[in-house]
Amino acid sequence: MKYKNISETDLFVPQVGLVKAGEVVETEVNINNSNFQKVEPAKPVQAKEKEEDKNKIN
Amino acid sequence: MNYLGSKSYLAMKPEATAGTAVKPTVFCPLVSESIKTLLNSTPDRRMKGLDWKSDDLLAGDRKHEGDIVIFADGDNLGHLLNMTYQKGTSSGSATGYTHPFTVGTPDSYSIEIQKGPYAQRFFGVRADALKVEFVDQKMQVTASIKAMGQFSVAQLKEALSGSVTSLKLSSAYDMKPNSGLAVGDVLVVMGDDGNGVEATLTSVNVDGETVGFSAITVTGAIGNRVYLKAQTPSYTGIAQPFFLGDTLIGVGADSATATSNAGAKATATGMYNFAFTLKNNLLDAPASGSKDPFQLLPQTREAEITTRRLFENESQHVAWLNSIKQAITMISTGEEITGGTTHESLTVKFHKVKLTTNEEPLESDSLIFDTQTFEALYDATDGYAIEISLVNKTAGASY
Repeated sequence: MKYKNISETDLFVPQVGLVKAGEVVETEVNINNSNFQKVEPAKPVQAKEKEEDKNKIN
Repeated sequence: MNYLGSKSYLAMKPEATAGTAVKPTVFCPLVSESIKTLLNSTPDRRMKGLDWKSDDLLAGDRKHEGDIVIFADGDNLGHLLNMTYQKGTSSGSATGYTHPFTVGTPDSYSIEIQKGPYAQRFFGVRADALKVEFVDQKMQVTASIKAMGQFSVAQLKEALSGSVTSLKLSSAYDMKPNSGLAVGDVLVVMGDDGNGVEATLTSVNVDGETVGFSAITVTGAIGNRVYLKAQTPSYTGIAQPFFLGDTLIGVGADSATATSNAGAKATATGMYNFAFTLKNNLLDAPASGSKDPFQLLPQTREAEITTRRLFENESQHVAWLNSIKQAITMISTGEEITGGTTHESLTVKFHKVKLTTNEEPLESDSLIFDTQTFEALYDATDGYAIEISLVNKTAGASY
């Protein structure tokens, strides 16, 4: 799981290490801490149908 | 399963409104703590035809109090001072912020202490007393705190089944059992299968018993346990505590002289022991609307200083017998703040002190010491009893 340090200071998390302000860290430790925000994996973006394809006459 | 106390944490954050809990974000390494909730329950002594003392307990005035002990580094000490005295306007920059503290209404804090899997959150916290002493060189601070309430564990009021987005907490402990929770808290709901399901709160409802969250799937009967999940602690670069060896204590006829004397080792007084206790004598009585302290308000403030110094002449004996005004200034210098040349520092000025005891016991083979207790008094000339200034790396907005 990825977590972002959303505080303005570098923070040391036991079993994770130093996480600089704004840095995203990947760890198996479940971080429950207001200074960190879980970074959800980006959903796969569905390719948009091109306008020209829609208008294409088969 | 067993849990090691060393893995626990103290987390703190000032509240915007005294008694309205916030999720604490500043983590401080503890030396020890002994905060407890006193239910003050008493046996129900109504005559019910029993030949036994009682068949139940009835609620009494609840209190939440105890000690937090930390080593005083510049940043964490600021929070304990802020829950003891009133902070003035901070100044400075990241290479050194200066925070003045004077006698006044302190900030109210939410604090959290981990007990194994759960955290005990106390809200509406203020310091009733703050003791500063040096233990084996290190400045150790004991904050005797009181709180307006707590949340730690509860029970389900209604059964849960399948996908749910809210739950109600039992009112067995309090009529408003969700007091002390804040949006973003993680509650663990114990299901009937014995497994805990985590719910991150999106609402703490005004009905006092409901909390809302994104959908979770859990089947739980009435009475199942619910607890506040302990946070994962995170620490800023933890500074060294202040040390007695980096502390200069000046004594003089007035505060200006004492502060000047504290400016150099040559003019400072070598104290073999130096400790002081600031007291707020908080009003913590319950009132209508709350089984807990209704509010925590400072009453008469006072302070006491204890010292141990080499006996050099009769001056302190005269000062004690004749109740002569003295002033004491303590300046502790800490680590250099990264990015500049400023050091963390703590300056405490007692503008007027008088000796209440001054003992000079004799022991064979030993130099004579003055073992002293001073009462800190209000100085009408300076308009202060005490002034505190703290220089550290923490911006004023954090307090």
